[in-house]
Amino acid sequence: MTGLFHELGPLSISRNSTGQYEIQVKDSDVWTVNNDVIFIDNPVGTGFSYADDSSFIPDNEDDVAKDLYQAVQYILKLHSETQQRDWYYAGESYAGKYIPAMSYWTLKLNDNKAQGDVNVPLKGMLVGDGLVLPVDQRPGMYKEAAGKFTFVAHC
Amino acid sequence: MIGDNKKEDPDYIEATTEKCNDIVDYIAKVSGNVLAYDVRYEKGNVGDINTGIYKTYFKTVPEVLKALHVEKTPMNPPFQDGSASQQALLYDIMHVHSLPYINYVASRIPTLVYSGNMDMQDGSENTVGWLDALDAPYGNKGINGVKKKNSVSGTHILYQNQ
Repeated sequence: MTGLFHELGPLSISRNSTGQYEIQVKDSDVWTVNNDVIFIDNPVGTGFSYADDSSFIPDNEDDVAKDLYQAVQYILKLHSETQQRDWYYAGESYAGKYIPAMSYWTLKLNDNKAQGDVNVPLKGMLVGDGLVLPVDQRPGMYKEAAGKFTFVAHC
Repeated sequence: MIGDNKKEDPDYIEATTEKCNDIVDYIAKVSGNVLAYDVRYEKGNVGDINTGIYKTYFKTVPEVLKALHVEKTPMNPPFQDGSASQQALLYDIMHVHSLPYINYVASRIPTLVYSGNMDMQDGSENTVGWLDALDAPYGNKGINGVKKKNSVSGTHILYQNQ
């Protein structure tokens, strides 16, 4: 929901000057102009994603990824027309962990599907500002603070 | 990163908060007053991600809950701030296991890595750092090899046109 309402849109939610909540709708410069976008509160236990028993809240990325894979399976079966479309997994920040894990397990389980599961037409993976190597990345904050960060420009 | 045993230590929290504020202030000064926190933080309150707006709004609009198919959620408020998951994943946070997954995925499907220059935690500098750690040919040091790149700052396409 944070990605939907605060980052990608097309909806945003804010409080006006009188403290009332307002929903705004953007119709340009949003991913939904050209694509169907599904936002998932992840992992279970965040946002609207809940477990009936707290023991189902995952404590490692493989379990997080397998939960996401099951969510994708559910969507593909519920909306069978999406089985013919190209799917891309995208995420930022902590998603540097769970998007690669989700993609990895999707490709693995596509090759070895459980009975009743359908193929996930995964075509690509996007990771933005990902947390991948925490031990190295966290001290990088100090490097940035010291003005020693590099403006990355490739051409 | 505040470890589990230091989460309640007020001296430690004060020291780390002060250090964090120093970093944010420095970045603001050298960048033309850029706020080093992202849009999830309400202006003037960068202490916690602004989930209060969701907790309050969605609790009071049952039509929205129904449209999201979560009207029967047992959670109160319906929108959870993720603290239970954060606690469950406490020992996963610093765990390094994504690199082999990225190597595997990039070998099979196009993989786009992009980054911003103003993300002090996981931005361009630190992204280049973990790209270096990937196996050849995806590693950043092999950027002129198989890996493609484009002219957008901070964007790396690890593989394309398979």
